[in-house]
Amino acid sequence: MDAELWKRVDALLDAALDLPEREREQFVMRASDGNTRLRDEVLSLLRAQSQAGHFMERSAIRVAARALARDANLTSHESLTGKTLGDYRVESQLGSGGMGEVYLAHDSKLDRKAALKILPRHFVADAERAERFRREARALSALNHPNLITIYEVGEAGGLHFIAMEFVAGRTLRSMLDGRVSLKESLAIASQVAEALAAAHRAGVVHRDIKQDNIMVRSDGYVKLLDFGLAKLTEGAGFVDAAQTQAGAAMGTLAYMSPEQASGEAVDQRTDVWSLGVVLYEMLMGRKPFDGVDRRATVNAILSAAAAPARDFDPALPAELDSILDKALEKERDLRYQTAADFHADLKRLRRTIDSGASSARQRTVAKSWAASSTRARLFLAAAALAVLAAVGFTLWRLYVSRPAAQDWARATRVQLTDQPGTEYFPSLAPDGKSFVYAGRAEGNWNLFLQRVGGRNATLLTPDTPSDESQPAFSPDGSRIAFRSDREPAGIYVMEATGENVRLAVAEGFHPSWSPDGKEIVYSTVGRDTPTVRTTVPSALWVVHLETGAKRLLTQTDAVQPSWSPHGQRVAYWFMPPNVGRSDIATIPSRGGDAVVVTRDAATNWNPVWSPDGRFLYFASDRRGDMSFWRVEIDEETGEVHGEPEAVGTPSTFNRHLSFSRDGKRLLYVQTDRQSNIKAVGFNPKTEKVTGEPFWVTRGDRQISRPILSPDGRQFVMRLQRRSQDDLGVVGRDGTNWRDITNDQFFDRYPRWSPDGRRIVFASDRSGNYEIWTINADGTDLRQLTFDSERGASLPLWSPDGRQILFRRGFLNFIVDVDKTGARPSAQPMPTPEGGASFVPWDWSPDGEKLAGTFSVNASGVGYYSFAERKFEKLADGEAYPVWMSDSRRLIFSNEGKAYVADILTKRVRPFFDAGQEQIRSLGIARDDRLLYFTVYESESDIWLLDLQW
Amino acid sequence: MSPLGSHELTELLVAWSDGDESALERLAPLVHTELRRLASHYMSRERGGHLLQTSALINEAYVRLIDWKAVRWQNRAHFFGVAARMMRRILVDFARQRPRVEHGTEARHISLEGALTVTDEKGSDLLALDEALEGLSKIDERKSRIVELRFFGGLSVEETAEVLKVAPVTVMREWSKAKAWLYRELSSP
Repeated sequence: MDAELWKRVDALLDAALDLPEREREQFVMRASDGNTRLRDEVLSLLRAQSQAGHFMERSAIRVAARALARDANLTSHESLTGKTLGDYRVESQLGSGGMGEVYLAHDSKLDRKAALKILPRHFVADAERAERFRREARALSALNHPNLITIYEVGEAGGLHFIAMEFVAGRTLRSMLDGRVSLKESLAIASQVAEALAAAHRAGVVHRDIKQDNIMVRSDGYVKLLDFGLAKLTEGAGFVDAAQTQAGAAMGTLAYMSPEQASGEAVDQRTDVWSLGVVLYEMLMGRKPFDGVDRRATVNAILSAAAAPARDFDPALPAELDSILDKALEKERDLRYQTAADFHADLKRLRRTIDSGASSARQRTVAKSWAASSTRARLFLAAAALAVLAAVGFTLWRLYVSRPAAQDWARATRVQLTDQPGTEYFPSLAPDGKSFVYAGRAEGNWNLFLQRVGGRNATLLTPDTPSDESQPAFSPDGSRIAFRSDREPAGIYVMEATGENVRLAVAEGFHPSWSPDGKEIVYSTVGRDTPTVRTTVPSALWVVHLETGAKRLLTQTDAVQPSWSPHGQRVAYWFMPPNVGRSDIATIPSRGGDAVVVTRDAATNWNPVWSPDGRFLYFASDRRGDMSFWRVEIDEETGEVHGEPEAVGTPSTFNRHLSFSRDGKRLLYVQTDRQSNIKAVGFNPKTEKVTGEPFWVTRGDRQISRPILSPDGRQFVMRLQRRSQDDLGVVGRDGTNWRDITNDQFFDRYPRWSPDGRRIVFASDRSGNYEIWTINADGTDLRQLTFDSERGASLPLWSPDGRQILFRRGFLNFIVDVDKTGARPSAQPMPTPEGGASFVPWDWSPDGEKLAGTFSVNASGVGYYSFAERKFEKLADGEAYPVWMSDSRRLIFSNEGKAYVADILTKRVRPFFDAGQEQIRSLGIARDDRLLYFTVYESESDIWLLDLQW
Repeated sequence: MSPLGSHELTELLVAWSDGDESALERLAPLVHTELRRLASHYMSRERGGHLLQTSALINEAYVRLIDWKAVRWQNRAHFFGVAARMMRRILVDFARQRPRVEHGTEARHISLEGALTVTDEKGSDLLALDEALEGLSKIDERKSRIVELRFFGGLSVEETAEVLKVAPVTVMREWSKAKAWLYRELSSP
């Protein structure tokens, strides 16, 4: 580019950057005044600018240091031989490469050989990425196909993440390719790979990195496909930008890349078809179909050059082979083999033809017989870096539910449809079940997106709207979408399914649901996305007629998220009964009348949706712990309920927002995965400022609650919230050495260290009610300390002298002696604050003289209690739990994302740390005041599909 | 910390900026030591996330190489510029010589691949970045200087502004545009 043009580019870029992001493109189009070169330059730079993110934010010396550390890490596990990782005893190293080292190990539990792949640390440093990988590995391990390598376990031990898998004695295809492979053997290998791919694709998993190095051939000719989904690990966390990831692909892998990969498009199963085509070609021809002297030339060849026909090399090859290769290496993927199964079928057919001698094929001799080659096992793992692909494949696996009575859905295939970081809500499936609309976050606000089921690219339906759009609902004929918008005037809008012709239906309301004839919409006056949020005003249900705009009231008692029954008779909704913190479901005639209650129990029941045949009402409920789907048989005419609710079964801890296709064979929902991890940051007690940057102590999918650092500062004890139990666990201060102290079906909560760090006191329901228990830090010597706490005992604190334990029962606090052996110790109640308030003690001061805590019941705020003065004192507003610094004079606590320090003598309260977006929970401080720690809660919601037709 | 006195170090930098290339050879070991120290910190941490209390050490590491307080600089800005260029030269040379874990033709791309596993480390192929920066300097000298000062020199926006005698807001804008340009260069296949 010449300097003159650059000046204009730079100036225009400047002007564009001054505008809000969404106006830039149009501005550039206008301002470039027909100069396409100028326009394209500026637009591409704007794109790069928005993608660059943290690019180059780390200084060069740090980058170089990390690269150096990485090199060292990749080669530093030599010493693993002879060591034990989990159940595996490492015997010898098999290979190493960009994706980590591989060892031969012995599984001591099951007494079998295993290959252990140690993942380089930087690949698993990102918890989200690691978790995605783990999920996929689990999906694959369920497949159990003979041509797929069996994954035994994805584990972690001693700070190392590893994959334990079937040990295959054989060679990689790469190592066999010193010369060409015979036609017969090439077809045998390729068709086994195609078969494995077909199985994986049926399960929704795309390999993304098919190449010679990932295909193992056993000495008996059996083929095993390796490293499924590993390519995903190298994807930028939450970054779905092809150009970026693609730049990371190394030459070795590049040659196997499909055109869509090379041009950075979304990847699907047809990418694997292409790559297998390349592998087949290379086996037969001894050269790659698309190859260049450098990256650019290779990419160009992939995108535009035609592969030389196989028969140009060897006229003796059957003509059918060229047509198969043509079909596999078709650049336009819609014209390629659409499935690996089709590819497999053609390969098989050709093999049969050759075997019967009908083809003119002439057998080649194997340049180097692999059957006779060394049997020494060697797993050669991707010397080259992996091709990194854009877009995220979807994962799916068979769904098993505990109750077969829950019928069809137990047999349904389960597919993940969206995979953006963050949240996608309110999916609505088109009646034909082929596409869906949902609300997702874009540019800081909620927008509606349309996506094809099985497709990857969502279309933004509501561009250029600074307002929030959500709660979309397809009309019964699929031609229109109703939704809630906060634009002026806020209310329910209707548009065509293409996003065009948006018009206001009614200037109020949330959660629209269509009448079966598409003429009316029922909505609630209050929007509630979760069942725990109570609004002061009860929500009413109204029906609006779309043509006339006439409104009619259905009910004024609390009712939200209505669902119109498929034959039009009734509307289902959920409501919060007065003075109860849970919710229930009811139905009401759509012409008006009396409501009939569907559920009335202790569980939280919400989000009702009719099955398309009108026979069942589906709903979300936590009646068995997790928030999952249930259904109950119901009479659509009368609302009468038949029988008990039965579980539909969706294997995650939080599910909501159901939507059916018209034929009832597809069901969409939102699945939310939650995790909570420990973060820490240095602290200077003199300046009362944090030092350095906060860093993760733990990263992973655990739900950690209220961690407490041990007196020696070496480990955290915490409550781990698991599917249907709460356990106590410890982890080292550096995030390694996880250990469960308890792991059983009971709920163990609020662990605290004894002052000598040897024992832990906690509350547990293991005796029926919640009582206070103590246990050694190594999990031995469990003892019950309190008895007969009808109202439940909780929140124990160990006194600094180690002799007493304080706990809470109801709204009162008690103190009990620990040392009394034999007889059941009796607890003494403590004074309470005046005015009927209650004090929740959270931390005992190191000098033993005070308790820090929170006021509740008729009072609120953070404060402390002095034993000597028998006096309570409030220091600040807020609800967080304060902890003492070592001087027993200052307290720290968090409130709404900020951390505060309070001095009980000067009464000064001062914020000193802001975690920004992240909420600070369970703030704690090390004994030496030099380290603050807290938990950070994250959740991710994705849309999933249950499909009976798959 | 350094076997060289800060005066000597300063003299070396001045000598280098005056055109004495051999001065760089004597400076390089210092940077390498610092690099290895940082690398060992990175290695010592068990899992992802951040490093315990080392961010202060890492920030603008080269500044640690020079005892700023002990040196009275007539032209602080000039010195920053020289030091940033020194870091660039030494680090890029280092990247060029770095022993490869992998074999063969792929080696050149390995660091970039590894780097891409963490999105913010696209700049980690220092060789490629250096080349791209060379290209940028041909059409926009100021932007390339800003990148040199910020990325290689580890200077803050304010310090960069001081060196270039422009407003910090200008530095920020130019930095952002330069990043976009480089990002695009490094992204295109």
